[in-house]
This record gives sequence, C-alpha cells and structure tokens, in this order.
Amino acid sequence: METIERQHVSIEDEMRRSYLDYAMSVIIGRALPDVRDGLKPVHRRVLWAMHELGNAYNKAYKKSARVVGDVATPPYTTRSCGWPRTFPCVTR
Amino acid sequence: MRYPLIDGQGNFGSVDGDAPAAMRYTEVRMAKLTNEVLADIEKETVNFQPNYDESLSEPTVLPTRIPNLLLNGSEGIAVGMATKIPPHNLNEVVDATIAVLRDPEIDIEDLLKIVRGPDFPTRGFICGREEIKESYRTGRGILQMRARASIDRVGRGSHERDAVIISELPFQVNKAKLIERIAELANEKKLEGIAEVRDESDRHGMRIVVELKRDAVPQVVQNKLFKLTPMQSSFGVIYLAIVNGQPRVLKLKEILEHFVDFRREVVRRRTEYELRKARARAHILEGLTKAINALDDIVTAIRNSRSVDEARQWLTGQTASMDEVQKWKGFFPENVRNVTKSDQPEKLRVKELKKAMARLALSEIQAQAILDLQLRRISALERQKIIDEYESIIKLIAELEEILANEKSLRRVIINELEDVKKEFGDARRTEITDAGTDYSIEDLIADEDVALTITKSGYIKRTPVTTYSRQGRGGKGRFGAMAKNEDFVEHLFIASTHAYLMVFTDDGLVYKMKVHEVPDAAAASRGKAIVNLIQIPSDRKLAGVVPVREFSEGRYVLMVTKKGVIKKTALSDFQNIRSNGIIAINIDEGDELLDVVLTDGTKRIFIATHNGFAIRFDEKNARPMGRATRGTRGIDLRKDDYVVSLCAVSSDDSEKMLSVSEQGYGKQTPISTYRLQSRGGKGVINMKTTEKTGKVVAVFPVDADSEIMIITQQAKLIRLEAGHIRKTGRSAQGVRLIKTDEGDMVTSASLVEAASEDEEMGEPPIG
Repeated sequence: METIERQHVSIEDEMRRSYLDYAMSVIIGRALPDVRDGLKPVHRRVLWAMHELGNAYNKAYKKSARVVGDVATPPYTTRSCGWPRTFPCVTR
Repeated sequence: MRYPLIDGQGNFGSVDGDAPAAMRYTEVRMAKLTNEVLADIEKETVNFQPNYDESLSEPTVLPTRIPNLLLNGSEGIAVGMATKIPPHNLNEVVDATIAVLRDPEIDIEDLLKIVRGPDFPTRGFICGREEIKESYRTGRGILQMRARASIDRVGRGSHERDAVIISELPFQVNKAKLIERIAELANEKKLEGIAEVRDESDRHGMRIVVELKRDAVPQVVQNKLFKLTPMQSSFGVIYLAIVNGQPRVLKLKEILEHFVDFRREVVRRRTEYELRKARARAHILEGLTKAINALDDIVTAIRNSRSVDEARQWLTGQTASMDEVQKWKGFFPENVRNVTKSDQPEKLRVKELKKAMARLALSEIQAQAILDLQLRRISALERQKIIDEYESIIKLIAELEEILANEKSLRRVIINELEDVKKEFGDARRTEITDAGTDYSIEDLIADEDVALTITKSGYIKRTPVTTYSRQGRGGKGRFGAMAKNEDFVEHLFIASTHAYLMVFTDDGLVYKMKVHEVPDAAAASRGKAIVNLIQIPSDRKLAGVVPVREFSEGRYVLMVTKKGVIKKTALSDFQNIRSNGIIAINIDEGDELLDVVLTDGTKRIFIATHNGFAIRFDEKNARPMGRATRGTRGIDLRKDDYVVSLCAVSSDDSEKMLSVSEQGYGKQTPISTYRLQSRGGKGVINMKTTEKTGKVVAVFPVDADSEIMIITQQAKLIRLEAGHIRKTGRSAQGVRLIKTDEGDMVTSASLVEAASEDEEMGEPPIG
C-alpha cells in the first residue's frame, strides 16, 4: 500500500509563503512593465502572437479573437488582465 | 496610448467611456511602428523561454528600437506597489536617448531641456514645470493636467451669450462623465452661472459648450470649472519598472540608461548573429569561388564519381582512403578528354586532379554547396555574381567586426537607427506645458463686483448686491437696509468689492480681517449674521469699528481713538498680515477701550467730540504714524468725568457741518469752521452747551443738507430725520428737540444713515 508523506505546516507560514509567491508573480509576471521594452508580459505576448501570426501592418486585419486565442495567457493573468482591459490599453 | 502598437478596426471604446466591442467583432493588426518593437527578433537578439505549457517558446523581452516605456507609458497595480508612467513624445525621448549615448555623464538639467514633459494623446495642458522636473529627478511626482478651454460668444442676436468652450481634456478624463459632473454642479447650485451644457463634439474634434447665464462672469465660471471638475486633474507619476527581475523606481536618466544598455546588448547580439551568418556564407562563397577557378577539374572529378559521396570525397580531397579512387582507371569522356591534355597518361591525370583538389582544400560544407550548384550558376555572368557577393560579404564581415570591436561604431549604429525611427515616426508635441499657478485662490472663483455691506449697531453683518438698492425717487419709501431686531438698526452701510477686506476692530484694540465675500450674502430684508460668528472674536468683545480696504497700500493710515482720548495713527501697510485670531492694533490702557477707527489719507483733519460737550479739531499731521503695538498719544485732554463719543476725519476745506445729538434728544448743526483748529492734545472747545434739559452729548458727525440721520433711544424708540431741517447754530447753543424722550428714557445712539454712494439717493429706513 502506498504511503502518503504528511508534513505539518502552520497556516501562518503557508499563507505567508503563498502570498509572497503570489505577490512576486504579480510584480514580475503581470502588473509592471520591463524597463527595456516597456511592456507588461501580456502585451509582449500579444505582440509576439501577432508577429507569429504574420498580422503585420501591411497585411489584412485579423479577427481580434484569433490573437487572443493565441496569446492563451496563463489563467491567473487572464482573469484580471483579460482582453477587454488590455486591448484598449494597447490600442488607445 | 500616445503611439499605438496595434491598429484596430471596430469599436475599441471612446473618450466617453463606452465599452469596447467584444473581440469577436473587432479586427486588428500590428501598427507600422510595431515593426520597430519586433525588429531583429529572429536574429537571436533576445532570450526565449518556454510558454505557460511549454508547448512553444516566447521572448522574455522584445528587442525594441523605440524607448517604449516612456513613449507609451504604463499603469499597473501590483501587490504593495504600483506604477504610473505617462506617455511621452517620440522626438524628445529619442533625442534624450541619443544625448545619453553621446555623453553618458550628461547632466539631468540638460536632459530636462530635451524632454520637456509627458505628452498625452489627449493634448491639453500640464501646469507646473518644476513638478515635472521633480518627477524626472526622483521618479515620483504629481503633475497637474488641465483641459483646454476658451471663452467665446455663442448664439445669435439677442440669444448671444458667453460660453466656455472645452476642446481638449486631461489624459484619461471621461468626457461623458465630465459633462454629467458639470450639469450636476449646476443643478446643485454649487456652480452658478451655467445656463446649459452641450456636447458638440463631432468627427472634426471635441467641443463641449458650457453656455453661461447673462449675468455670469465667464472667467470666474471657467476657474470654478477647473477647480470643481476633472477639467483639472492630477496625474500621480511613479516611474516603477522591472529592472533585472527587480521592481525599481527610476529616474528619467536611469530609464534612458537602461534603454541604452539594452540597445547595446540587442545590437551586439544582432551583430554577432549577422557576423556568424556572414562568415558561414563567406565560407560557402569562398568554396564556390575556388570551384569557379578550378571548374574543369571539379567537373571532371564529379563526372567520374559514381556516387554523390564519392564526388564529395573527391572535392574534399579525401581520395587517399578511397578504394574506388585507388582503382580508378581514369575514364574521361570524349569531350572532357579533349579539354584535358590528351597526350598525358591517364594515371598522371588522376594524380594531377588529386593534387588540384588537395590545393583547393574544400570543406564539407563547401563541397556540399558545390554539389548543390545549379549548372546555370557556372555561366560567366553568374560566376561573376558569386565573386561579387563574396567580395561584398568580406566587406560586411569587416564592418560587423568593427562594430563588435569598437564601442564608437556600436554607438553610431544605435544612433543611426534611432534617427531613422525619429524620421519616420516622430511627431509634434501635443500637450502644452505651462507654468504652475493652477491653484485658485477663492478670489478667482468669485466675481469682482461691488456689494452693499450693512453692519447693524449690535454687530450683525450681511452683504447684498448693489442692484438691490435701486435708485428711488425723492420722497420714496426707501428700502429696508436690514431687518433689525428691536432697537437694532443699520449703523454702517458701505459699498465694497467682494475682493476687498474688512478690517474689524474690537474695543480691546485688536483687529481682525475678513474678506468681503466671506460676509454672508443675504436678502435685503434679512438681518445677516453676527460678526462674532464669522471671525474669531471673543463674544464678550464689542465692535469698535469696521473699515473696508481693497489693498494695504502705502500712504494711507488707520486712525484710532479710545474712550479716554488717546489717538493713534498707524500706516495701513502695517496691517498686511492680520492673523485669523487677530493682531494688536493699539495697546489699550487699563480701563480704557477703543472707541472708533477711521481711514485717512494723510491730508485730513481730525475731529473728536466728548460726552460733556467739548470737541477738538486738529490736523492729522499732528499725529505721527506709529507701529502697531504702541499705545498712541493724547488726542484730547479730557476734563474730569468726560469721555470721547465720536471720532471723525473731516476734510481740510472746512465744508462740513457737524451734527451733535444729546441724551435728551436735542440736536443742532454747526459749521466746522467755527471749531478753531488747535494742536493735538489740547482741551478742545465747547461743542454743545449741555444742561439737564438737553443731557450730555451722545454723538457728533458731519452731515450735509441731504443727509438722513437716525436716533435711537434706550427704550428702542427710533426716529429718522433729514439733517437739512435741523437748525444751524453756533457751538455753544443747546439746539432743538429732535426726539421727545419719555420719562426715564434717553438717546443712546445717533448716526448718519449712510448713503450707498454719493451720487445715488439710497434711503436707508430702519425698521423698528
């Protein structure tokens, strides 16, 4: 029979660690732009996806949904920084 | 975004805050400028990382040629920190980047001359150069943005009115909400003078028309709009960005430096990549060039090979180990045989061929390229092309090596690319930068107009529009100046600008200051507010005098008199800084109190009257100006049990008539010239012969034929008289009865019912 290893973790420690992880992932992975290209990860992915799609300025327009589908950002990003919020930001 | 990276088609939202259409309804493609962001991405310029499910790889950063962080700005809230970077003008930022490249030690002040401030796509204004500079120096700051508004006339003919026209809004201000806010403020009467708000924006641009009422002051309404609506908004700047995986607040120069460093890295990596490619190509071309020069031998070798492998071995000179070659009989087809020397033994030819191949020393790659060569490429013209390409690629390699070896060359490449971007995408600044001065003092929000101020005997004050006191015909009923309570009546009425100050003196010698506009605006018939409730006067203090002052200019004086005859003259300019809890105007002796205050211009004569019927008149030059916190000097040498009742500043042309009123209601007027001009501090002369019948003097003041006076008794009897009808007598006369006082009653006060202005007959009947 398989034994499951159990470990006691205090809820405070777990919360602290998890929250710190979350905070760092938001800081680095979502909310702040990189000083070099001035883009947040999601904007970078959008442009990269469009580049891959060959969605260039001198080619025909493509449906926005296609780009969105390709960006396929990780779930945590999509939830709060989904398309409707990021796109106007990119276009406005 | 100042420089959109996406070119969208469809509804992507508007300045009115409409929601953009769903993604299934819109179309997009990259903007032309985005080429510059993605340029060279295929040239191994940036690192890639696996994407979220490791099915693909994506770039960790884009090799942008444009300093996008500053151009388009950013806004984001992370955990425990947030970023807010405003957009900038491409020309300015690119110039600044080049400046940093040319001189890494460049002074921040010099950079600030290039980057004048953020540049918003919505145009408008940024007010306050110092704040902008501060934000660049520290990485944080608060900028004031303002809409562009102008005042214009709209409508036609009799409908023509003033209007505030708004044509540009601050960044991120929602036009629909702004209009809503203006309408709301107008409805709540917080913003008066607005007749109508219309949005006349069309495809030619934005135009919000705020139509004003006829009596509104346009500049005031405009200032109020700035103050109360998002037409003036602040933009809290924080230049927070990720640097090497760490969030950091950055100064302008640091941002530019990081971008420059990044450009260096990208260009270096791209050059390395290109160099690698160029060298590989050069290697092949070198082989092809060799092959062209030994074409016959190569063709012979390949033709005699039985397989591609064999041919490759021939070309790479690996013939020694080849069985086939060892056994090779040197079969040459006729035509080739004709080309080669036919009299030589075939064995020898093979040997020569082997030697020739060894001399060529072709690599595998070169051999492969030769084998892949199409026959047409060996025509003369094509052969030349190969040679030309080889030569040019050698040159290119030299250039690329130069870029990598020489910092200056690398910098020149970066600068050239930046210049190109500027040439193609640079545009004029949109947001105008102006000096600060956006903080409106309340005066900017209040029309500068004259109002009538009334102060009652018991200290109630109010203001009413001057127009309330419309001119009436002589003998008209007059208007109530103030709804007075019981024995109260209007003692002072004067016209002052809403922007002027009132200096309020109390009997303990302190002076307070308030703005005329702070006086409650009240209906003509209302009483107003007690002055003690408007300024910080202890409620047991009595009002000694109120003087309206437009500005605390030089050459004017405040003249004070106490009950015990002390006078003091102090320059008006000494009263510039009156604190809210008052400052000392005169040091009052124990048992004395400040009685009255007048404003003079240095040329007046001073008239002081006492309770026992004496009066003194002297030139105001006799009283030398003193500082504020001084006691003053003697104005009149009072006899026993006497005290001062009135202070007047009269003209030096002796035109006035002095009206005296006594306790038992007697009065008379006496030409001022009969009061001999004395020097200050004298005992004075008789002003009124006071007897038991007349009682003592209550008040003395100058009148003319049209003046009206008001007398009030202890028992709240009031009478209003025309001064012209009162008998003119000499100084020592008793006068005539003006009011019949009942047994036990006596006059407590009398004063001029002051006209609103000299050329208008504005009666001031009290109400009793």
